Amino acid sequence: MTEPIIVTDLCKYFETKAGKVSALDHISFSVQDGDFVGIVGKSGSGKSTLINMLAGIDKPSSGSVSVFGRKLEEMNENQLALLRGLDVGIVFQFFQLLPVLTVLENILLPMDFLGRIPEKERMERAYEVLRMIEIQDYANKLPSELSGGLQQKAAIARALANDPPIIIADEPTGNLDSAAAEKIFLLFEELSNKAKTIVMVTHDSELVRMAHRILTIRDGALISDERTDRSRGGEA
Amino acid sequence: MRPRWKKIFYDFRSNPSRSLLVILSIFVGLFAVGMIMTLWICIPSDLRLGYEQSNPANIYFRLSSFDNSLIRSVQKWENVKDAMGSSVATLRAYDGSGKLKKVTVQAVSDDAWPVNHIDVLQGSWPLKDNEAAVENYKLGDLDGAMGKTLTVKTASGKEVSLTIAASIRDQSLGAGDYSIVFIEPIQVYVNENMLRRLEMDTQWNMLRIVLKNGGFDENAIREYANDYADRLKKAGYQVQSIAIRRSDAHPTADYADAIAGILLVIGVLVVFLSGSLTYNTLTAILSNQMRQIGAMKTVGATYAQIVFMYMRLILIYSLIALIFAVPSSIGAAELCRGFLGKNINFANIRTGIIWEVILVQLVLGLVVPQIAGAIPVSKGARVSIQKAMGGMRNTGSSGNDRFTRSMSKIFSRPTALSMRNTFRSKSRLVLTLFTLSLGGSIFIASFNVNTAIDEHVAVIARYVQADLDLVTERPYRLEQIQTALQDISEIDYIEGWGFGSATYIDADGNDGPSISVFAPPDGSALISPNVKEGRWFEPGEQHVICLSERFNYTYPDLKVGDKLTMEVKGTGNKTEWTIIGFFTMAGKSGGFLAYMPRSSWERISGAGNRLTKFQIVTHTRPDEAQRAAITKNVEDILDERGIKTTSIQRNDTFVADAARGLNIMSIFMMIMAVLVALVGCIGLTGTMSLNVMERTAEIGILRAIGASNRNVMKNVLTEGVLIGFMSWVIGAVLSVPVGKVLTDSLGSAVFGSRLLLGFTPVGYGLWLVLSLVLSVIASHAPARTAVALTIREVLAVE
Repeated sequence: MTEPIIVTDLCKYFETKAGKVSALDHISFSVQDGDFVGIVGKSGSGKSTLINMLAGIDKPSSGSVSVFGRKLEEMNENQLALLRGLDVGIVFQFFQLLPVLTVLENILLPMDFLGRIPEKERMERAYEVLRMIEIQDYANKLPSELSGGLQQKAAIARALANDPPIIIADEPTGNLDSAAAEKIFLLFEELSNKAKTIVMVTHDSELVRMAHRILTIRDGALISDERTDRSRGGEA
Repeated sequence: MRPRWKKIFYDFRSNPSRSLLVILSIFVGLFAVGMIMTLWICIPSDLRLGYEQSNPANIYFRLSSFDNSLIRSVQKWENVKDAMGSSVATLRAYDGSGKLKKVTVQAVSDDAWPVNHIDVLQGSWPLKDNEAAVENYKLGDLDGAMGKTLTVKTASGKEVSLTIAASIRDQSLGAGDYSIVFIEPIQVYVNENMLRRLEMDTQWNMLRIVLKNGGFDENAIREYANDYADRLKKAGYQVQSIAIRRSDAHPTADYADAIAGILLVIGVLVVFLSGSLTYNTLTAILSNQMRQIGAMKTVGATYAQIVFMYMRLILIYSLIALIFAVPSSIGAAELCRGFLGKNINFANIRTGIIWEVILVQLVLGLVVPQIAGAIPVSKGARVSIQKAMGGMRNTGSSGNDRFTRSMSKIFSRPTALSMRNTFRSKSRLVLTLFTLSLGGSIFIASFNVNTAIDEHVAVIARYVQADLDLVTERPYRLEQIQTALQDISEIDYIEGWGFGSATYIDADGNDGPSISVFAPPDGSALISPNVKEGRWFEPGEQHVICLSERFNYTYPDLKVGDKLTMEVKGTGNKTEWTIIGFFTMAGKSGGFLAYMPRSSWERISGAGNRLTKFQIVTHTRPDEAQRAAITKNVEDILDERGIKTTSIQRNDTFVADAARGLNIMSIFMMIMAVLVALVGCIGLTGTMSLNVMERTAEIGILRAIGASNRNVMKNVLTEGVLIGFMSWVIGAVLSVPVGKVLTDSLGSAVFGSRLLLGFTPVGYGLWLVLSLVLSVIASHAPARTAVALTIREVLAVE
């Protein structure tokens, strides 16, 4: 199996008035193709910082994050934008849908930016994603007209617009009730079954068991890396 | 439509008040620039072209009687393009309320007026017998209207009734005697057949000549004038006065230049104001868009794509602003041109669309907002996703510096919080203060310039401090007039002044312009001159003379201590005078004026102690009605005694007329001040909206810990008022240099010298009130938005 994400000796420090604070402390791991990885940890443990590094949103202080063999810390903003559009789909806790666009238009937007899918095929692709996520009935609704769960589904649909092989999600269920959260996790599991590589930060210790592999972060350090019973590869 | 463009369109639509604010910011600048530039281009060209098209005379000879044979001869002289003879006389006519007013009556033989064409604005032309045309500029002074009767009093006192058949524009008013339209008498035009009835010269007394070549060169005109004067003298004509004028020198060109100068200064400032305003407002919009920019970046949007999107949004704002700014600026400029044309006597020649203005508006409208937007857009597009998703919460400093900490010790905690907020985003504060302070400085400076103008009007009034100015047709001894008027109890005393015309003789011995000579008695309390160089004459001094600013302008080589030669009309004697001073009066267009001691005048006038000008002073300052009654009484008594008068003028009317041109400047400055105040208000609204938007979380926290709607609103309003107050302080300081630039520009154009900088607390006080009121108004909408936010909404986004 190939390893689309490789994290090597990753460190991140923040300068504060109180001095240098370590957010990530020499973390190394890799993610296999089609894996569904859950990252857990207490508030302030560094898991969101880690996921920002994987999405190219933040740059490491030292160490390296490599996505499909390309080192993110060596890429400029435009290259990172291209990476996020084509290879990595990102899902946030607060959905971050553009409030002025409908669900359909939100999904069309990344296709529009990347231009990889021919213009004539974009609508078809958008509906394909909508059907996959089962929110086709809400295509022409504005985000504000949808429940939190539906908004998160729309955000996932948007992340899938350009059919990226990797989905990175930062607390995607953190703002949802338990029923909606379960549906979202099932959706990620389904995507994983469709060979998408998924890396997800979550607080939910129950639902995270649906992932194939769980990384636990504490005080910026990776303290455990275990495979769950859903794992296709068994214990790490 | 692609989703990204749809987003831009929706952004535009979804927040109409913010879109309106940006459009308004751009609109105000484009409108002001369009209007100012139209006026700046049109006014001087209207004056120049309009005047040139009237085939203006380059040389005016006031001669003893002549007939058409002289005109035919003159037309054959070298370099003469056109010549025209007319009969001109100063008479009096009754206005609508029965008061006698000085009028200049003119008649020519040719109805077409080959020289100094007139424009018939209303009524019929050519005039029939018993009909008159009145120059439009002063038609109102006669309370005249088309079809009304105009009763003219002839030299012998006979009254002749004429029907006002036309209202005309004569742009050459003042051109023949180096004067300006404001202080010219009412102009009445009749046909040749009316001369006898009006007891005027039936032959011509004014010869106007247009040169073929050299009409734009004052030296060339002067040379031809001297040459022609010699010829006329050799032919036996008595040359009473000579005036020359360039073909493009409209008599009120100085005022147009002053207006153009003011427009230029304000135009440049407005471009800066509009640019900074647009920058501030666009920063506000971009700041509001940060999360969305972050979201777009996460789905693959590049820097260039985001920049291009928002630049296109700015383009939409610009286009809408242009659509409204272009026609409205044309309309406003037309209104101003109409107003100025009527008030400084020029025709609006340039018609149709002025493409250069539209081109500048297009360039400014499309380029300036893009430049102003480039910084916030680029900053917004460059911001990291993390920061963008955080809603740019960390913009600006905490405001926790020494100054703000000390404020906390002086003011209550909520007030101190408002103050800290004010200083949080220092760059935005600086821009807002720049916009508002500059606006305020122009506003305050406008009042100060108006005060300078008012002070100058007061200076004019100091030359004519008596209540009535009586000019008789022939000289009388002072005692004769005093005796004649002794029964009028309201009269306190009468002072006799020497008064007459003289011809300036230049260094080469050639005749120059006609000089109006005034000669007050020693120690006269009725004049208090404004000497700008040298000094005024002392009692008992002889052979000394003080000259008006017009001499400085026309003969810059003349200095205090130089000798001046002149020939008093009708005496044939050339006399030499020592120039001891130059004074400022009604501006460099105000004619060649000279003051000398009365005793000197009595020696050279040929009339001894008999005078033609009498200054009448009443016991108390009479009101309007009393002044009119006294004037009428004086006229009646002098009529009874057979003392023929040329004019009895109320000096307050003279001052008001002389100040007319300056008052137009005042009105103009006020229009500009209001425009600038409007720009400042829009600027503050944008800043306050942005400040509230950025502090959404803080407002939520305030509400969560018990702040009432009133507390939140007070917090926002206090900040707005604080900015308003700071802008007032800076504006008050800046008003000094801005006022100086405007006053200098006005002074050099109208007076050929600097005006003293005026000062009035009115501008400062009014702008303080206005800036505080505007601050409250500008902060009110953002404060309401802040109050409307629920704690859940506010804190949810964090």
